[in-house]
Amino acid sequence: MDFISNLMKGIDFALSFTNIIGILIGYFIGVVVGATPGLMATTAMVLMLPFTFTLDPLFAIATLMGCYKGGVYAGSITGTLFNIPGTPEAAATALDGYPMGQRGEELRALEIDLFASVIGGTFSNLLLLFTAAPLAFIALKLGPPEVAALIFFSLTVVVSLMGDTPLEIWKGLVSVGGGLFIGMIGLDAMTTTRRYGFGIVELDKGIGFITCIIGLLALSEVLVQAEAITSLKLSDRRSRVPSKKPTFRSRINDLKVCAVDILRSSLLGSLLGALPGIGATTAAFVSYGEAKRAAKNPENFGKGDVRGIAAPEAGNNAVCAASLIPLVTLGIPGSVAAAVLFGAFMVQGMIPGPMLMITHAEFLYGLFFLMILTDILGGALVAYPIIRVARYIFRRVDYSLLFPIVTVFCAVGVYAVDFSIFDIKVLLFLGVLGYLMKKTNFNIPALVLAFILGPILERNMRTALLISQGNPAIFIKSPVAAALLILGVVSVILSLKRKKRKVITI
Amino acid sequence: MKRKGIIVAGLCLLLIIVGLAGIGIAKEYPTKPIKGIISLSAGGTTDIVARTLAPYMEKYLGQPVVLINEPGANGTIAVADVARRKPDGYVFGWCNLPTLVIHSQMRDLPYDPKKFVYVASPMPYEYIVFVRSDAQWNTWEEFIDYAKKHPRMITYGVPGLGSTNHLAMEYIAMKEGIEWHAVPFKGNPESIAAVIGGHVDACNTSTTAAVSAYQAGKIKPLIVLSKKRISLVPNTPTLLEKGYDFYQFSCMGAILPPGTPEYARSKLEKAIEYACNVPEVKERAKKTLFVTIDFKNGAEYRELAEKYYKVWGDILRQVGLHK
Repeated sequence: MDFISNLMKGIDFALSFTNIIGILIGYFIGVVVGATPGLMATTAMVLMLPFTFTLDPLFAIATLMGCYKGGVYAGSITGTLFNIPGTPEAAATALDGYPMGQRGEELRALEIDLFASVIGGTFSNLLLLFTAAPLAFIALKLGPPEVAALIFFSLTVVVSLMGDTPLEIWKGLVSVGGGLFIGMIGLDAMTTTRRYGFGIVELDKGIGFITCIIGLLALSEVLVQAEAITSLKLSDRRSRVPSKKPTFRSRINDLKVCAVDILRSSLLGSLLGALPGIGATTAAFVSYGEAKRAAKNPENFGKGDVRGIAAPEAGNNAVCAASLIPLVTLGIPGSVAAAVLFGAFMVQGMIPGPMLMITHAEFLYGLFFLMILTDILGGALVAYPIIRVARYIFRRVDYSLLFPIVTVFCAVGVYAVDFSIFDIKVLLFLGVLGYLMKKTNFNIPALVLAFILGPILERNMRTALLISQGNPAIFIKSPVAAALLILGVVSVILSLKRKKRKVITI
Repeated sequence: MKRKGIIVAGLCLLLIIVGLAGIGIAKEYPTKPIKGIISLSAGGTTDIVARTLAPYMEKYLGQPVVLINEPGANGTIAVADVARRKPDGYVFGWCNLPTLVIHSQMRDLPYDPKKFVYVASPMPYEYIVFVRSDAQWNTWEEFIDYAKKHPRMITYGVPGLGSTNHLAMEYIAMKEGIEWHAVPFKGNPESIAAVIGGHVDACNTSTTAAVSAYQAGKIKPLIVLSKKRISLVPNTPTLLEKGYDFYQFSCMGAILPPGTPEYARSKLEKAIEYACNVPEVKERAKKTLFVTIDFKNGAEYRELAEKYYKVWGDILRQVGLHK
């Protein structure tokens, strides 16, 4: 009863015209920034934060949350249309979204992106509302060895499910190794030792997260497509595939086909989101992998399957609300975005943590309620018109105009982080590296994921070993960790074997 | 088609102009937003105090203060970053004392702590050892007794190896003849979560990070390691009361990259002083954050650092961690 009365009070507290305008503005900024390759929604949040100091607390935090949600969704727009994911979490969506768009069904792909995002986001909002406490308890029970094993497992999922031949799987493994290596460059986060710096002081900070993903995901694709444009004749470029518009029936049918995948991904995304530090990118890839594993005809994945779009989108959007779980229940921000929100709570005089639920219940429930509205209203009133505009650009604007702009945004986005020219040089290097990887069919998403997760894997593995005083048995003693490690190894071996057989029979 | 190109180009131009507008015409420092690098993780004491001061510093400076966390290796990662920055007064670091006085005595660092420009210190940290609320130990004596009987069994979380939290526990271990070992986490919030989750037995943490978990009844205090009792846990005795000749001291402070001009330093110093003296800040520090604001200007801060360079240097030698 306490819960219901709190919720009612929260709704009463939160429901105002200004707050709704606030979330819509936040969502709009998030969508525009998230869809622009090179610009990150989290960067926008960091920059917006100082301006929220004087605003009403709920308005300020709901606006920031709207920006976060909009940003996580919007990366898929450019990912689907141009294969240039605006955010790393959309890299998985682009795997199937881009092929579908190339078939002339870009509107269908964009709509599935949006539907899955709204459903995944709403699911995790509701989960946050009803089950924040038990989920936080599970997340607490996962200590360093379990988290390390979970990350190991996530990396093997990507490798084993994203290749179709043994050669592709081996290339995936090499890509993961490359990502782990890039993540190790810089000062060691435990003892400040220089690693792989080659005497370059600027590398002490490591390869920037934003630099790495923009270089590998966005700039490399610009290079690939620039090559395609120059090698095509002008007349070829004009004759694009005719556009197919989805009908009411086909929409319902699409949703039916991927209903189970959306639900599974929403749940996976919520669980992974509740773990501090895992994040939306991992959730997207694991969701994609699980959808592919469950499908009867997995060979359609990667060629424009609706499920391959819906699953990662539902998964990554489910992370948004779930990443608030460790924040409001434990006081640990699990992602960059959550850290910004932590700051917003702080300046408003609230310390996130277990006491927040007790002292500011009305505020929190009001916020949760606004988050539910953000997904639904933002999706309908902001995102839906924007995908129409994006599609218009896709159809009408000459790509040779678009790519220089994207390149400039990439450079500006990277430069804006630290005002460092060195970062732009790294960006160029990574762009070319990504281009070469694409040309040789290495697995860039696997590399990006390994780059993001590598430092977390290292920290948790080393912490686990410090707890056990150097005894690796700690990874086997914990049943959860042991199960995840075995699953990971087995899935790689099995996929190598199974696919070998398939190749022979063909 | 051409027209669309012009529209797109126009939009780009507009964006650039909007971006440039923030820079404005050169006036008195500061003329653009100032970036503050917080060397410890979000949700920790340093982070929370820095964010409490920020709005008032902004009011004084007339420019936004954009705070970013760069945790790692007990703050040395971020301080190394500050050392490399352009000394124009637009990037400063919020750091803890060990990054300036301890780590350089333990190993070679990519920066020289003495070369920084010391801005000011808003407060000293205060420390408490917590265990999970259902743990078998209720007093410090029980805990020490158990640790003596079970060598190498007790693990405790600290926000980094070489933090004062770590050295204080090792100093106690040396005095008591105990063997226990430290597990470094990214910051105090993570270390407290590991205690609640049962992954380590205890943690030595500064106060603010622990307020929420303590008030929610998830952890219980065993001892206060700083000089005086703490209002958050008024009934918990200090190490000094228990007859040790030792207390743990570290303070939060702001530093600028080596070579930053004095006008920027003194302006920031005054901004911090202004923020420290705002009644709401004092009130919040006392009642919700449980920290003691005690402003020290740049010169006093440097003096403190020099004093504790020796104090912690001696302790490093005694516990065998000096390089």
